[in-house]
Amino acid sequence: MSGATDPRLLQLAEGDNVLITTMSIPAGEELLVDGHAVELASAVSLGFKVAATDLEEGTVAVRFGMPIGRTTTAVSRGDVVHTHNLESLYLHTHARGEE
Amino acid sequence: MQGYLRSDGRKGIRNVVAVVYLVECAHHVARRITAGLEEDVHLIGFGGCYPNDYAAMMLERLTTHPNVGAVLLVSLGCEGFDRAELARKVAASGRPVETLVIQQRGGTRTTIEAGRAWVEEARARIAATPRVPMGVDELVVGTICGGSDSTSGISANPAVGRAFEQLVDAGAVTIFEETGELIGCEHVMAERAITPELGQELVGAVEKAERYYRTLGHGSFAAGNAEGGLTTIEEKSLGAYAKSGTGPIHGVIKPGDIPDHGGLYLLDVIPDGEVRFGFPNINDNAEAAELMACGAHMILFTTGRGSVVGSAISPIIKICGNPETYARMADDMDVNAGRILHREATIAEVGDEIFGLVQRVAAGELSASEAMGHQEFVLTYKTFEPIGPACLPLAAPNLPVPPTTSA
Repeated sequence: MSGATDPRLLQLAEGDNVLITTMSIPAGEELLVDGHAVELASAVSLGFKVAATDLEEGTVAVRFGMPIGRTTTAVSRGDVVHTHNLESLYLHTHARGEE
Repeated sequence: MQGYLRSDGRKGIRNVVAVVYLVECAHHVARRITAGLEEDVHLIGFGGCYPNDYAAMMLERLTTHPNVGAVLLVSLGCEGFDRAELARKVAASGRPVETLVIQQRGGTRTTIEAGRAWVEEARARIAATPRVPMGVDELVVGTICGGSDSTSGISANPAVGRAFEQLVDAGAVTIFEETGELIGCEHVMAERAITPELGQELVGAVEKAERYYRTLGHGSFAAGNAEGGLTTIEEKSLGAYAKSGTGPIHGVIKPGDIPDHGGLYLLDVIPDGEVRFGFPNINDNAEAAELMACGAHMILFTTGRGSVVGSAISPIIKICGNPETYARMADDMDVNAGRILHREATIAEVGDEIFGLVQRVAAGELSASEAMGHQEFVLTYKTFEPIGPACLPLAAPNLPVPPTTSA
């Protein structure tokens, strides 16, 4: 990643293709990701992941230099990366219903 | 720093009376015996009616834990637990011990009365336990993460890893655990083993965990982990792994194995053999109990979502990785590692803070959960085989307390 990036997004290791938010950011905010301006489609909470670049379906997401799963759909730069578009290479992730 | 000297040479940082129910049916009576005395009279026990070698071994290790000065066993009378054998082992350790059998004592009221009278006397007796100088090199410190979120692996866990490195440098035993939360890290971790054979044991322990969880249908991953921004078990693992720091790994142990050399140890908590008795550890306190059975004097507990638990017998120190959680729940937390995320402190600075706090809690300062009276405890059924010869390269030929002696 060589372009300018919003200081609220943290790249934990060189080469990571997901960035970590260091505070909650509301929907609609414009963020600079690797030199590209993107509008945040949904609110993102502290500690969540945002794509650093466009990711094709089946791309291995890398955080802190380690693989953390595979994308299940195409993901655009600046999109939130979570259970709706990333799956484990090991064991299924269990979730509970909405409150 | 001073410790309570025990007959096996170990030293305790607390001197509590353990009141132990030997089946759920004796739980209420045991709890009433401790009522109002909880500061130094702690309640633990096993709920099952049918015997289990692991549970018997766990209660033996916990009732002879260096933080325990005296033991009261409370039995209903018809359960399968071998109460006489447990009482003999506690007596052999030099601790005052008494067994009350509710069915022989005339029921609930008379047993509670007898129990409270015995506890009062035992507290007076153990107040005379000699205190002797104790060094950091005599401490055993465990670590758990609970209610983890995405921040845990960035702030609280690496800060604990840093404190672990300092403890190992000072000669202490440090123990990290939950092999099911190291899935994906096994090969990186194996490179830190002090022998190649130990490295293979580390990989094998994690592979066993993956097989076990695969049979159960999902990983050691709670709904709250995902709500906190963690997406997959390997992402959670990457964060959990950071608690172990970056130094060499000196061994793999199982519940009840007590390392006899300072260093960093992985506690393998996944049962051996085919899957039976359900989930390996049904919650964080089951892991705390296993760390204590390995001799842990205290436990460094990292959290992002905001766990509030403490533990009977060994104090829990809470290190919060998420600054938003810390702001909401500061009373429950001992260390605000979320400062790292806001770039107000470095991992090394928070690591130093934890290392200092470990020494103060060892010297008697109460942790936040301890001061609020948290004493959660849980023990379930499990099955383990003894560890293999490659697991403890530094150990003397015979472990001082092999895990199978109580079987």
